[in-house]
Amino acid sequence: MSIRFAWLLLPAVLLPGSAPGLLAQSRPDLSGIWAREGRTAQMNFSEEAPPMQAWAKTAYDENQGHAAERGQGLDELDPTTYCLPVGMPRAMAYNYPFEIVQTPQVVYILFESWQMQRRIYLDGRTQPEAAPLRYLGFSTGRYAGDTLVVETSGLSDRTWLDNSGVPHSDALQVTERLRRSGPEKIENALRFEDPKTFTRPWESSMTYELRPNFEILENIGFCEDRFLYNYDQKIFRGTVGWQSPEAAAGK
Amino acid sequence: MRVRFLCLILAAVTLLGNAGGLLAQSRPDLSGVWTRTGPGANQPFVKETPPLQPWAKAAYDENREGTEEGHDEMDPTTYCIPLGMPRIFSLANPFEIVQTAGQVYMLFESDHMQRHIYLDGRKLPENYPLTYAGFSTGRYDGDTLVVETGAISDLTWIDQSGTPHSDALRVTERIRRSSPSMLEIRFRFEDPKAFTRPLEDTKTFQVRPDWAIMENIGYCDDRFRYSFGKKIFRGTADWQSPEQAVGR
Repeated sequence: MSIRFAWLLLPAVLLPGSAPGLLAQSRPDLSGIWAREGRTAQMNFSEEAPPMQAWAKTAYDENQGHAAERGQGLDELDPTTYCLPVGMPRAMAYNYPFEIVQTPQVVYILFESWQMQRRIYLDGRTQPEAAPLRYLGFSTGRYAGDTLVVETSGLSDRTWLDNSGVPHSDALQVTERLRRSGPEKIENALRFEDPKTFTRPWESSMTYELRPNFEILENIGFCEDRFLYNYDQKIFRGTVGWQSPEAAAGK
Repeated sequence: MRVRFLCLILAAVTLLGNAGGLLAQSRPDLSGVWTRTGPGANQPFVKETPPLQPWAKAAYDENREGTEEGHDEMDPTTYCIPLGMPRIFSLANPFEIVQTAGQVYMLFESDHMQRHIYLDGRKLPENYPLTYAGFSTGRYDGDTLVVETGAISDLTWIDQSGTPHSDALRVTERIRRSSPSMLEIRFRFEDPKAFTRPLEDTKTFQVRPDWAIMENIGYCDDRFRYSFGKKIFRGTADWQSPEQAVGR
């Protein structure tokens, strides 16, 4: 009898050590490198103008009016022209890849664009009232079955909601439902609520494809050229192919 | 007899289902938010005159002359170029280490720099583009993570002393949790194009269980936002143009 009991101890001893592994397997696996599927010329959450208050519609029309310049990266109204990050939620519609890393306490979304690091806290923490607004906001999340539900607030109003120039205020709250809809696909159902900007909440969805052969590369945006040009006047050494604006103009 | 057999099956299933957990426990735990110990916002790697070849020594001397009051016109970071490797470790900024089976991630607050350290045996590809963080591969050696980094942009300084390097710089780090709350990184810098011999230095870090890595895009954020503000800025109460700030 006691020998049989001793045998029972074997799996019992192994079980606690296996807890992290088993726990990991019980949550949905969203890990990997992902990118917007297909050609992503339109990095917008809505094909038409979302339901906006009057002031926001005016700003939106003004932002839209620069679409031709935007194609050349020269849009003087786009915050990213001034080297500000795309931020949230625009990053989730962007055409650069991101990597999802899951740990028990935090889900990290690591973007290639601007090397942005999103942290989605799973441990129920809140942030203090006077916490500063951030380009990526403050995100908390929980698993609901096969879905990761994320709430983001505390967003800086210095960003555009997406590429089309939809504005938003610091009251914006974004809810995302991320779900692995297939072996190589994640669907993100987004909901935008901003009582200072929109006349009602509205929704969108994005699909991402798994990119197993991608690496998250370093990218600090086209602004690097600007930094390097300012720097170059004094110290630039030897990167083949760079030309000052004067040299490029053939002077 | 049957009980023994069933228990063996159960143990085997538990073991297999747990491979990830056991593997995690067999590697050293370097995870956490870390900050550099010791005084000073900046702790250089180079403590004396660095062992430089003539061209690099000339650049170093020029860099040393460039300092004005808090505004070094020779320092690349003055122009918002990232600190990069290895200079990011000379600052007292926090970073977070996250470990998975395939990578070790080092996520910094300064420059929001991401280091991806690949553990799958891949090698630095030839003609890999130069980046500020470089391209890193790693392997565990007992309680130590050994990291090799190459393809580092030669626009960066080794640290705030102004020591330059070439694109041939290779950085080896031996990273070890020297106690439950302390991390030790032993650095070795080899650059046959710029140095006359390798350089070594060690830095220590303490764990910060209550810290979270915050968003930080540097003092350059003010510069970006000022350029931005004249045209489109809307309603953040605290912003003032320089004219307003001086009361004109």
